[in-house]
Amino acid sequence: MSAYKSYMDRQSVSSDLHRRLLELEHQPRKSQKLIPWGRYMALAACLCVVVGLGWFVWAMSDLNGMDAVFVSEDSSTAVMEEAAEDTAVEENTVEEFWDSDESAVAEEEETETDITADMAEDSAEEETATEDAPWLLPGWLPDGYSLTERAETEDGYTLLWTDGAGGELTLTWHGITESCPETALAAEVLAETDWTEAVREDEDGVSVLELLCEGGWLELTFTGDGETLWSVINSLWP
Amino acid sequence: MPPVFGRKKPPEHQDFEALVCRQENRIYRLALSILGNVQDAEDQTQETFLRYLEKCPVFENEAHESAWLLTVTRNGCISRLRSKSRQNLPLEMDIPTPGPEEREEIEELFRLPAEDREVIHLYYYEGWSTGEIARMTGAKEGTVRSRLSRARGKLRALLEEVEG
Repeated sequence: MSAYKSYMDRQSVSSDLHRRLLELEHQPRKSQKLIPWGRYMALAACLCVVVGLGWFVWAMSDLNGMDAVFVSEDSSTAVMEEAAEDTAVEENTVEEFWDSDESAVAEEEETETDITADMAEDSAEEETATEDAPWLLPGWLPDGYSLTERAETEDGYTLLWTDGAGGELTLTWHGITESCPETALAAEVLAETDWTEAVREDEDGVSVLELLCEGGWLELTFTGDGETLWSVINSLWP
Repeated sequence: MPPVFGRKKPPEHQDFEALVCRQENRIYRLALSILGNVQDAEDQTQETFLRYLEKCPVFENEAHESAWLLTVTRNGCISRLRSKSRQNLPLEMDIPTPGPEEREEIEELFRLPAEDREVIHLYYYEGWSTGEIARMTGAKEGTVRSRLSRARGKLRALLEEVEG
């Protein structure tokens, strides 16, 4: 390798590149972290839709109750009473919702407690996640990261929360079934933005993609046992 | 030492000009060894320093600084190669002409795959240990050792072919 060493020793940046490098410091740069307005706007829009739908449902049920009262002038007393009871219950619910902040806070706390309990249960289940999910190959996470939580949505997404030295990392999988073989390969990075990644090739031919990332998204192709599986991984950093 | 990303602290105490003078050739040489193309290596060198200015990492010492910059360079080179591969662009070798006594070894070495050249450069030129290379590339140390051995074997076979 002596020839290589002496050859490389002679390689150096051109004076033009050196000058350009020194000028980099004084050039305007893109901002380090863009505020995700799009995300906030989407959340606000969802909130508006939910509130609007809630109000609409409440208004409609209220109107139906009144209709029932008006239409049922000729109906039996039982039906009128039933309609009146329904309306009364709804009014009480509304009053409680708006007037009783304490009960609302208590309800929220209760919900949070439930969620925390659920999370604790999930975390307990997480310890065996690697065994449960053969595609979750050990070692794919960046150094110092560990899996903290896992959830699966009805529409087939698997959400994983991890935590480590660089901050919290959330990953979303889609389309990976539990039948993915153990020899699944992270074969190809199809797109990456601002990721630093490393493909690891093991002796037995199993390849695992390790990720160190600073944001953006990544699409991977997994292949294994002669079949091609696919998944999309999204990463969102705080 | 694994690269640790500092958190948005402006590197005012780190003189950028001195950093460029200290590291530019090291970065350029790694990029050249992986990419095998002068123009691409220059672009990657610039990209690495741009990344440094964007991320503002804080280094504990010069070894840490080198590790961070070389890791960014290495990952940038891999992204470039993948991007070219995806777009079916040819990977044109364009390296400065070696001296007559180096020619054989250099030409054969640049015929090796990029991942082998990377390991050879870091091990033989930068003097990194297989453990340090493993941490940088995210591979197991055993994998690095086997890659190094494989690269040496390939190089030996290529040189024997030429001599034979």
